Amino acid sequence: MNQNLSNNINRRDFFNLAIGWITTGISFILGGFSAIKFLIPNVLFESSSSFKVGKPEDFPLNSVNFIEERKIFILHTERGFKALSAICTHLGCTVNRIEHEDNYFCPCHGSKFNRDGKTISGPAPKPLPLFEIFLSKDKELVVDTKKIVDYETFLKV
Amino acid sequence: MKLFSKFKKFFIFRSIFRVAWPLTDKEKSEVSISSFLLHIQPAKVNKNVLKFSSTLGLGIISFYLFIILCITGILLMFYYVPSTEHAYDDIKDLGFVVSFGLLLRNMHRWAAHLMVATVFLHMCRVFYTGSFKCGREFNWIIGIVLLLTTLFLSFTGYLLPWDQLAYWAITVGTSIASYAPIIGEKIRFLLLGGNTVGQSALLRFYVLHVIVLPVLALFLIAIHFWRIRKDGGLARMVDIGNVEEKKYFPASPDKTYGLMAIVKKDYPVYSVSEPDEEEFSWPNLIFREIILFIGVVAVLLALSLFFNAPLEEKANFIHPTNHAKAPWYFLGLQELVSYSAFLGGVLIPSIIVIGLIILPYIDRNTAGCGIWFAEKRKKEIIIFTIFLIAVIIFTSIGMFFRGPNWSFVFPWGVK
Repeated sequence: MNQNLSNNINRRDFFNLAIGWITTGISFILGGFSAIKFLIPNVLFESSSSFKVGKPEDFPLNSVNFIEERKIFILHTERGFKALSAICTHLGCTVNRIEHEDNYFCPCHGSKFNRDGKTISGPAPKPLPLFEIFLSKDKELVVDTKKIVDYETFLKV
Repeated sequence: MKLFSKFKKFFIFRSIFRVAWPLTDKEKSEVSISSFLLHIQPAKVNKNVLKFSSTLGLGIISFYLFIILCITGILLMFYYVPSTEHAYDDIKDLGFVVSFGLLLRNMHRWAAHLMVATVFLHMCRVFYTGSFKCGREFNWIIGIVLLLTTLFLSFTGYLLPWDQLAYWAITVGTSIASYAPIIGEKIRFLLLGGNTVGQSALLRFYVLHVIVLPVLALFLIAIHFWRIRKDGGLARMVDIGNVEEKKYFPASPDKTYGLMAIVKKDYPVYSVSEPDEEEFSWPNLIFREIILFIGVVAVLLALSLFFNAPLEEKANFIHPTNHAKAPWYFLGLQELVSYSAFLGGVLIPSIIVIGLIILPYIDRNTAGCGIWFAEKRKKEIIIFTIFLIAVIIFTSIGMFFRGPNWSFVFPWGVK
């Protein structure tokens, strides 16, 4: 670098500085990008998002069944089948069904949802989502938790 | 005694320690300068700094707890496997099978809790004495980053026992992160290495807890200490009067003699206080520190012998415990989160952290450097105290007034 203390820099110094900083910047950005890319897993060893829950006959009319290992409720109403998430939309605790009140309750921060999963009270910002439910070729109910459907969707069997 | 003095003159002893047991003033300063561990502190310290009431020893207690946590943590690592199949059983083994395993786990747990408390109180002390002023502004920021590192260390350690408490605290804690705008969900995915708290989350938290964060903390502690030395020791009230009266030589931009003469610099160097205001670090400071260390270890041992670290049932992915409570220092946050996850989990913590970081650049009143509750800083002290009271209120509501289903209960049992 130039020894004099004036603020003017000549063309050579300017280009040297520019090349130095730009290459340093690019290598940091590329390095940081690859580090983050490395830390995001490409393959997850989690269970598949769609799964069979059983035959339609297993769920009597007007019943609510909790599929424990998948954290969903299978509702069989007069209009058809519904698959309701049991994961509280607030902070991810599992909601409990309260039989005599016919609603759902989250033990962590006290959110309450009605029979359809709509928020009644508490901090939960969104209703419990409904997942897509369909019949497989061998006549079993299949739920796909990747696909969220609206509240008027029912599966008629 | 004669044998001992002979040994001190002995070649091997001198090759290790250079200076004999210091008796004269010259030896006392030599011993501070020649020893690696002792040279971290100055050879002479101001009398005011030595007084317990000026610092309450909170910074060094935090450092001692960090060292104890490193030692006990490394020992626990010999028996702990960060896998969802083994983790819980390993913790059980530490409690029932391994010699002194329970004691070590208790010490690690209580030291972690204590460290969060002492680091926080240290921050309060530095604020109330105005010690982050007079050129020490950036060291306050390093201190805030250290506070956050301590909290994050504690949070990552919380998952490792893989019990119900751990599983649901981390489920809730990482869900809070997902409320951050735009990148929230991605941060949660990156932190957990998946969509749910599982094996990859346990491994990630383990790596963060045992390597990444402790190394970061150690590095920041080194800078924190280094800057205390470079800024002329701990802030103290004598600084203010003396600093302007000193005769300075003009600094020249291209001469190095500024290194040898007293030149006014951009940062505070007050190492030139009057001789009778200073005492030798050996033994005045060193022995106080050793006694404090013994006290810290004694308190920690007593706690660990009488109170066992909690361990609930093995993590059950389906049933959250009722009520799922975070550790006490996050209860204020959990209380806020129970009103609104975004407000309490993202917005308010961000405002607090940013506020604390820029605090030295807002609160630029130079009065009251190194004085407890300076009269001239009344306004700032009142604002900070209101913040502290709010923290205490929300924490105690979360701690005492929340029962099952997070419903409001009175701790004395009245409905």
